[in-house]
Order: sequence, then structure tokens, then C-alpha cells
Amino acid sequence: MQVRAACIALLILGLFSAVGRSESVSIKRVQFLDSFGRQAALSSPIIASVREELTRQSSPIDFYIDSVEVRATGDTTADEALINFLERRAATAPVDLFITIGAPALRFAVKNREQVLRGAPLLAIGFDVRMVPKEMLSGQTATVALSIEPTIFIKGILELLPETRDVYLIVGTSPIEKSWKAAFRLANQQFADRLRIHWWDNLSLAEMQKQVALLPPDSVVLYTRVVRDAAGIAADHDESLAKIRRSTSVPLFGFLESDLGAGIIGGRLVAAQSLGRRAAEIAVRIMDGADPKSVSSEPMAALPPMYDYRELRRWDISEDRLPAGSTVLFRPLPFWIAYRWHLLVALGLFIVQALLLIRVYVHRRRRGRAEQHLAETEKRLLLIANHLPVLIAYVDDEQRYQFCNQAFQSWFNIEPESVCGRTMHDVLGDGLYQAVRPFVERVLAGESAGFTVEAKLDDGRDVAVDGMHVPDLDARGAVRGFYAITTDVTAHHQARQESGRLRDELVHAERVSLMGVLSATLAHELSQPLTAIMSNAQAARRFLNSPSPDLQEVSTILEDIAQDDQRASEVIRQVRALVKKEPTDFRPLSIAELLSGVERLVHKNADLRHIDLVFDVDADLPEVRGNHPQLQQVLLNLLLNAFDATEESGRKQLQVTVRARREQAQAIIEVRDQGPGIPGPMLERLFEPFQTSKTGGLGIGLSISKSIVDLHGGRLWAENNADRGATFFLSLPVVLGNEQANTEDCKDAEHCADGLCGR
Amino acid sequence: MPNIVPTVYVVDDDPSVRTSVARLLRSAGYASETFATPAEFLDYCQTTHVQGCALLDVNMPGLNGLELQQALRAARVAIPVIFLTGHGDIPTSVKAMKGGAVDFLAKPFRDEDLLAAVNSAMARDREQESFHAELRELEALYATLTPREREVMSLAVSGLLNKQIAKKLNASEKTIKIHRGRVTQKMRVDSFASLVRVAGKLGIHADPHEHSA
Repeated sequence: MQVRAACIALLILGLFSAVGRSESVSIKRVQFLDSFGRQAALSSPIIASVREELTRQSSPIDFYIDSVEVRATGDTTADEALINFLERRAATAPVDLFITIGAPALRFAVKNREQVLRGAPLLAIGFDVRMVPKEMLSGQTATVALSIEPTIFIKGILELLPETRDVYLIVGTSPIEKSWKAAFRLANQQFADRLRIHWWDNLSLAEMQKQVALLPPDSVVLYTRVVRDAAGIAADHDESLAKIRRSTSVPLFGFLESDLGAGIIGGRLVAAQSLGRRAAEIAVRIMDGADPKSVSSEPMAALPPMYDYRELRRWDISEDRLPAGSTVLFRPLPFWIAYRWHLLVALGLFIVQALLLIRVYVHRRRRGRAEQHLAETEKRLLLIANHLPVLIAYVDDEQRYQFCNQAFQSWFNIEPESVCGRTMHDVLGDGLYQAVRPFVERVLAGESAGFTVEAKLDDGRDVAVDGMHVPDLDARGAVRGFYAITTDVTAHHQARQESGRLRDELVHAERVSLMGVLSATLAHELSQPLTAIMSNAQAARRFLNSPSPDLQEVSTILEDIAQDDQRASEVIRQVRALVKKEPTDFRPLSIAELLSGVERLVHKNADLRHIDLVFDVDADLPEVRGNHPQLQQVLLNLLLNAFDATEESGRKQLQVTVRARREQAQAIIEVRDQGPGIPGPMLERLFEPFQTSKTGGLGIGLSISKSIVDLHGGRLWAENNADRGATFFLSLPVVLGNEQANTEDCKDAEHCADGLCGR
Repeated sequence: MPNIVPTVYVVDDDPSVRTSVARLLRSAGYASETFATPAEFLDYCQTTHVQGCALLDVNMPGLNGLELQQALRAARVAIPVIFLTGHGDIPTSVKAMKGGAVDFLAKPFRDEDLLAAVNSAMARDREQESFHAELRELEALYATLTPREREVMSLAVSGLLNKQIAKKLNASEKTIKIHRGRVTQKMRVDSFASLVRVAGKLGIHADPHEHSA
């Protein structure tokens, strides 16, 4: 009665919608009549397919779904209530298409055609052609039938399990089930020698459940349908299948494609879905006006064999036994596909972990390697440090040695272990310590210091050392010590001093030789005052010897004598100043004074050679820093050369011009002669030693002059004049105002030249 | 002319030397004039008759001592020269002496050396001066002779006899004798030998061929 109620409910729904739409659109009606009940596995997919297809294709359709009464006994076709119900409905709302599902519904519809169909076309679905006489299908009837030999199911079982002796057939007691039973019984006669078929149509579902658990080996269960069991209880197909599957101790077979996956092993199965799809196509065509007779489909055979992998495994049936062309469904996906996300995550985690491990490993290895490298580097550095000829030490901020190399130890002649921890003062001795102390203080203030100092060691040695102090800063930039790199440059220093001394000697010798050149005029200059003194003195004596000496006159004479003596002394002083050998000290010098001194020395020379010596010195010319006698020497050389050259010209009006001017930071002194000029090739080698165009002299004057000028940081060069003669140029850096203060005590020409002074 | 005081002319570019040397000369009783440059002295000589000697410094700007010596000779200033030099180098000395220098003194010199040199130079100048004075006198006498008398004198000192002279001049021996007597008188000589000496001093020497042509 539940089924009936459901049908009525649907019908009412259908009526409402029919009334709602009747005015505008003609509503079509389709009547389903099912043999199994709507929930049945076979009918529900068919109905669903047809409904879906018709709804999609056609104008609004009302569907009516009813079932033939399924009874244990009696003639289903004679269900008066159903006949009356359908007849009444057809009378009020004519049906456009009548669809039966299964043989019982077909038989019912055909038998009660007059009342139920009332001329509507009939579509008969899902019956076995062998179970329905052909004459039943005359008239406006289309069919989507099945043609399935029941023996194929037994054959299928034997193919898989040839040892099977007993087949337990689970089947209900409904009319359709009974018809199947008849079909099977017929078919099974040919397997009688191989197996026995047991019919469980007399058992309730509960009993069957118990029984399947107790079945002997070499037996199988073939589940057909349980629409209504022996106890008269209508069973839901899926539910009853599930129950049997849970209980069975032997393989379970079935014949509906839709049961595959629900517990049956499989085989050649009946396709409810495709049956539905085909039926839907035909229904559409009939609704579109096609002749039902012409659209019937061929009876459908069973599907190619299909199996449930899980059930095969459950019963340990080898896939080798499956018939050719078999499909195995529900094969579990390979692990890696089924669990790919888990796998991916796991793999990811694994990779991350592996990377972490690798990192740790690499880090450790690197550290290990770094440590090893560090140790090697340290060893190497120590080896290098120990074999370098320089003294290397590390001193902490308390001026205590923390490290020193072998050169250091051997230089100070001390034991390695006794160096560390000792103070600089202690190790270096007072003399050297005091010398380097300013640089120690500087480096401890964070400033790198390079220096050269001379000192006397405690053992009496005089040494000169080149030092480099490099501060060692901690992370915050504070000085925690310094590296002291020291080279003993005593030998080099001495050699340099010696070479400086030799050069000074040479310069001096050349200067003395200049005196030789000047000697004639110097003698003249000296003889003049001496002559005057002598004459004056003798005159005075004579005056005094006279009877009445003029004392006033004598007094004047004595004054003159003193003056002339002064003059002579001045000449001698100049000569001595030029010839004197003394340490080369550099001082700020006035160029005007320098030139006037030179003029005093050479003016007589020029006079005697009838050369007009003209001086043109710019006023307010700044001072230059230099050594007076050496610069005089250079100028004397230039002037005497100019005299020689000019004299050579043989002209009457002879002139040598000395011009001094400033050009930026340079003072430039030009000595211009009127000689023959300097021949091209000579011009290049003019300042090389032993180059001379003169008959006298060694030819070292200009080369020495150049070396002097170089030492002064100046430049000496020559150019031929445009008209005649040549001009020698001497440029010297001028002393800028702020430098004058600290140029006083620069005693060492070397250092001045090296630019070490005044720093 | 005779009232000219023999003077030492000091030419030196060095004022101290000039002054002191002049003083020394004065202390020894010599008059002196000082010149700073040769040119000054040369100018002086052009306008003034110099008598005495010159003390020249060899080493002077402009003209040096030797050049001055030549310039003086060229200007016919006959005055003994003493050279003063700062460095008595031999080539200069030789040149100087060849040029007619009386002496060559190296500075500084002793007073007696200078005074001795000045003395001898003065003596030479005096000699020259007296020689020149006599010559000037003879020339004045000679100027009083008539051309005929000069001819006769010239021929006579060449050693010709009166007869030979008369023949040469196409005159009588007696006329020649009178001319000769006048020459002797005018030239204030007492003997023929004296006349010959005077003629020598005057540089008259008869060229016999000149007159015989």
C-alpha cells in the first residue's frame, strides 16, 4: 500500500502541473507501469533515463508511475484495483505513451489493453523475448527487450570456478521471479552432470542470510532478485544483496550490471542503464510521432564479461581464469595514484627533511672543512711568517707581545717562549722603544702607521728599521692590539747614506772645481782690497814717518783699511761658503739673495769677458726651500756656461740675462745667453754626465746641477732661443706661506726629497 | 811746458785701489791723478799734456790695460806705463812688456816695488821728456833755415865736400861755404860733428842720389 500512496501523490502533483499549464501548452502524459516496484534495481534506472530524456526533448510532460501488484500468488494481470485506477485516469487524462517495464507489467498492459491503454502506444521495456509470446506484441507496440540465455550465468560461474558443485540460487517469490526460476530450471538441465542448482525461493531473507554462511566449499550463490521473500516481506534489492554479501562464505554471483560493485563477482551481466538509454531514445521518437512498430530495437544481449576486482580477490580467483575480453572493474588504483596527495605531502616532507639533513651534513662538512682549511691556512701562514725575513709580531693593547715569528726572535736573539707576554719596552730596549713609541701610540689609537726610524739597540748596534703598524680591531671597532711588521733596513739605510754621501762628495767636488774656474776673477777680487790695504798701510806709515804727520789722514786711511779688509773677508766668506763641506740643509731661501750672491761671484768674470750681465728679478718673489751653496752652484754653472757660450759668439755687445719670475707654485729662473745655441742632438743629452761641447771641463757640471735640482723637487731644462743662443730654465717649488713654519729643521736632503719632511 | 809737474796717472776701476795707491804715491812725494776707466784717461790725454807715468790695472771692464796701452800709443801719448795685475800671468806680462811697459806689478804689491817702478818710469819719462825738448828746440832752429840752407845741410851731413855740393847745386864753392856757415850758426853748433849729430836727431839724412838726379 505504500507504493500505491506514493503513486497517488505523484499523480496529484502531475494533475496540478497539468492544470497550471493546460491553457498555454498542451501537456503530454506518460504512464510507466513497473513490474518490480519503483525501488527495484532494474526499473529505477530505466525510468530515470526515460524521464530525463523525454523532459529534455519534448514539451512539458506529466509522468505517472505505477507498479503492478506483486503478489506471492494469484494472477497479477487481474488486479482489478489497478485496472480501475488506470482506466479512470486514462479516461480523465489520456496517456500519450504507456511504458511497461518487465514482463509482468507488459502482460498486464496487453491483457487489459482496452481499459488501460485506451489506444495509447505501448513501449515494452526489459522483458526477455523468450518469456513473452510474439502475438502479445502486436499493435501499437515498440519493444526494448532483452535476449539473455539464462545458461550464460551458470557457464560464467563454471568458467571461473570449474570445481563448483552446488549453485544456490537466491530468488524471490514474486511473479517475475517465478518466471525467472522457470527459465533457469530449463537452462540448468544441461549442467546437471556437473552441478546441482538449489532454489532458495522458499526461504526468507533472514534464513538465506544464515544459510549462506554455512555453505560448503565448491558451492556458489547466484543472486537474482528478492522482490518479495518467502516470508512475504517485500525486500529492497540493494539492501538484500548487501545482507547476503555480508553473510556468505562462498562466492556470490549476480546478473545485473548495476549489482556489480555491490557484492557480486561479475560475469556476463544485464545492462539496466543501457536498456534505459535505449528505451529513452525510442520513447522520444514515439512521442515525436514515430510509428511504434518501426522503432523497436533489437533485443539486447548480455554485456561482455565484467568483474569486480575486490570480489575476485576476496574469493582468491585468479584473473587468468577470466574469459577473453573481460573487464576488471574496481581495481584498486595503484598505491601511488590512490594516495598521491598523501604521497606528495609525505614526499614533500621527506624532501624537506632530506634537505635539512643534507644541509646539516653539508654545514658540518663545510665547518669541518673550514676548520681543516683554517688549520692548514694557519699552519701555512705560520710557515710563511716564520720564513719571511721581516719581523712580524702581534702586540696587544697593553703593549705586550702575543706572537712573533722566527725572524723576530733571531733578530732580538731571544727565546720564543720568553717573548709572549713581555712588554715592548722590555723586548725592544729603551733606544728602539723610544723611537717607535709615537707610532705605537698612533696604532693603538686606531691609525695604521708606516715609519722608518733609526735607533741604538741595547747591545750597541745602530739600526734602521722600516715599520708598519696595523691595528687589530674587534667587532665594535675598538683596538685590541696591532700587528707590527718590521724590516731591518740598516744595510739599505747605510748604503743609501753612503750613496748620498758620495753624491754630496761629487757635488762638492764639482763645486770646488767651479772655484777653479772662478779662481782668476776671485783672485782679482781678493787682490783689489788687499792691494788697497797694503797701499793704505804703507801710505799711513810714510805719513806717520813724516815730520808733521797728518793724523786725520791716517785715521781715514785706517778706516779704509778696515773697510777693504771687510771686503776681502766677504770674498773669502763667499768662497768658503761655496767650497765648504757641510751637511746639506734645506732652508727657505730668497731667490733675490741667491742671485745677488751669484752675481757677486761672477760679475767680475762677466766684466772681464766684456759680458753685460743683466738681472731681472720680479719683486715679491716667494722663497724657495733649498740648500744655498748647491743652488748657487747650479746658478754658477748656468751663468759660466752662458758666459762661455756668449763669448764664443765673438760679438761686440755681449749680454747674458738672468730673469726670475713666478709661475703658479714654481719660481722660474731663466739664464739666457747669446751664444751659438745648443745643437739638436746635444740638447737631449745635455744633462748626462761627461757631455761637453767645451774644450775644458769634465762635462759633469750640468748633470750635477740637474741632480741638485731634482733633489730640490725642481726641474732643469734648456731651450734654444728663437733668435740666437739658448736659455736654461730652472724651476723650483716656492714655499707657500703655511709651510714656512715647519721647514726649519730639515737636515736630511734625502728625506726632503722623499717628501718625508714636514709631514 | 816746463812747469808741468810729473804726475802718476792711476787708472783702476776699483775706487779703493785708486784712492789707496794715490795716497801711497802722495806719501812718497808724487803727484797723482786717478781715473776709474781707461776711457776717462784717454779723454784726459786728448786735452792735457801728460807727463810722468801711468799705473794701469790690467783687468778692467771695457778696455783692459793692454788695450789702453795700445790706444795711448795710437794717440801718440808717450808715457811710460806700469801694469798692475791681480794675477801675474806670463802671457799677459809678455804682451805688456812687448807693448813697451816699464814694469809689471802683481797686486798686492810692496810699496818699495811700486815706488821703484814709478821712479824708474819717471826717470824714463824725464829722459824722454828732455830728448823731446831738445828735439823740439832743434826743430825750431831747423825751421829758421832757408830751403837752400836745408839742402846744403842735408848734403853736408851726408859727407859731401863743399866742392861736391857746389857742383850738385850748380853753385859756386864760395856760395856753398857761406850757406854752410849760416847753417852752423843757425843750428847753433860749433862743429861739423855736432851738426851731423843734430841732423841725426832730426832724422835728416841726405840722399845723395836725390840731389844728383
